[in-house]
Amino acid sequence: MSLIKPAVSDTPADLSIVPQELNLDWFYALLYPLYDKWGAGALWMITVGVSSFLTILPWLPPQKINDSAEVDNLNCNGCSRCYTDCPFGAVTMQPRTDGRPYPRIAEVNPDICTACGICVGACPTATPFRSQDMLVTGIDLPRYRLTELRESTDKSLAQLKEKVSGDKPRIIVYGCDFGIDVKQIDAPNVVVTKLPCIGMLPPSFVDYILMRGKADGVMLTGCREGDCFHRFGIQWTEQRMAGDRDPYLRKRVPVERVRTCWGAVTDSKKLHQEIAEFEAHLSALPTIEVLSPEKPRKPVADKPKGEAA
Amino acid sequence: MGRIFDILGQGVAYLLFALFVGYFANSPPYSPLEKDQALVRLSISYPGQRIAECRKLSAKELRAKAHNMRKAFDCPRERHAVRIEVLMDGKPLYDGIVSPSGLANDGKSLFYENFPVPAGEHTLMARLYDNGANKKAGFQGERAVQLAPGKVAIVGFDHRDHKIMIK
Repeated sequence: MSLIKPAVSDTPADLSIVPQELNLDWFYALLYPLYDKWGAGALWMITVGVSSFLTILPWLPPQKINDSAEVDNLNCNGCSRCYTDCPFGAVTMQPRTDGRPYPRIAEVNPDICTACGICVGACPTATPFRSQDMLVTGIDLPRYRLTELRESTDKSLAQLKEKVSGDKPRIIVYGCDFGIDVKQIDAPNVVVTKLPCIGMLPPSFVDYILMRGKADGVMLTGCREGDCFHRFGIQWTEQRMAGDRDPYLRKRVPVERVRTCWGAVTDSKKLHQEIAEFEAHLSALPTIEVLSPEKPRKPVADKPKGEAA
Repeated sequence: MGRIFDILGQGVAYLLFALFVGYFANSPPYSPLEKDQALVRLSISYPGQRIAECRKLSAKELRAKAHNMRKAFDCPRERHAVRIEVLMDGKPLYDGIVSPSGLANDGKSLFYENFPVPAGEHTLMARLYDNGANKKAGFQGERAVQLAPGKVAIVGFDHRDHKIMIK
């Protein structure tokens, strides 16, 4: 740009005249026309106002999360996995006072909790294999409980069963609120389920889907790698699936039927490409021996009432 | 093929951004004045007269003071606010009062104003009141000026000759 239009000095200033036209740099000298138009008072107000706002910015109240994670006393055994996995240090372990035979219980600080659900993904009670109609876990998100995630998963899988015919592999894609937009997927053999953060998904869900023969492949998606909105959603998920982090994906689950795809909201092309490759990959795999069919779930007569710690 | 379009698209996006920055770096031109306007600039810094004259202390007053504080005269520092009136062709262009600067109100009163006026020949008159706004003007100056479009007429104070300057 400098070669095409070099920046040169203007003619020497003559204080006895006002230039008829000034070639201003509007990025740096915008204040001068504003001064002429609005006067010094308005500019001072804007300057002081903006500066004051920037000064108090760090002390402005944070975004209010009204539905922070809740601990269920009856189901929490104080295993501390949620404490270990919480990316924000919102979960602490406290001495138990409710008489149950465990020394500690998790406690959530609602001021720090971002309701990402990673603690739910870490909880050993968070498994869809449980036979109760209403899943109650040791720690759960009031805005999107694990039982809702299981219902949503089951609903998606039911669609898959209805829509798929022929040899095309059936795939369920899990997507988070801040990563690749999974809602745009429109293929008869692919269904999607969303959750606040991919780290909320317990590995037992993958086990449940594959070993019950509900789908042929599971794709886990989330934010761009290294840019997880909830800090460790991607990292913990990968470690859990690889068997490096508790709760582990059970060894019986064929990991070649699980694939991850991390990307930004705009990475839809990448997602479509990954799904196509995953389909081809799944088609080449031998069928797996699934578990015995699921028994009907027990209806909940009285919803378990866990006290929020 | 898609990759080529991606690169081309990125190139176009960069080019548009560079053009945006390049254009607004010195365009569009800004005109501080209309084409047929000139400017009258009032630029004066002048100290008003002291509010009270120095007063000689009596012997009794001096005795009442500590040895090291015995000054023969008591001279208050405060000054009057200065009022300036500017008229163009007999019509008021500016009439303002400015307090003395400084915490003790003992500094100069500072005036700086710009007045876009139609270009042409004008008679400028300025009066400066430095001894209280309602008293007789301390200084007065008048001059006919020919103002071409964009020309600046200065209404100031000549501290060397101690008079209002219009040029």
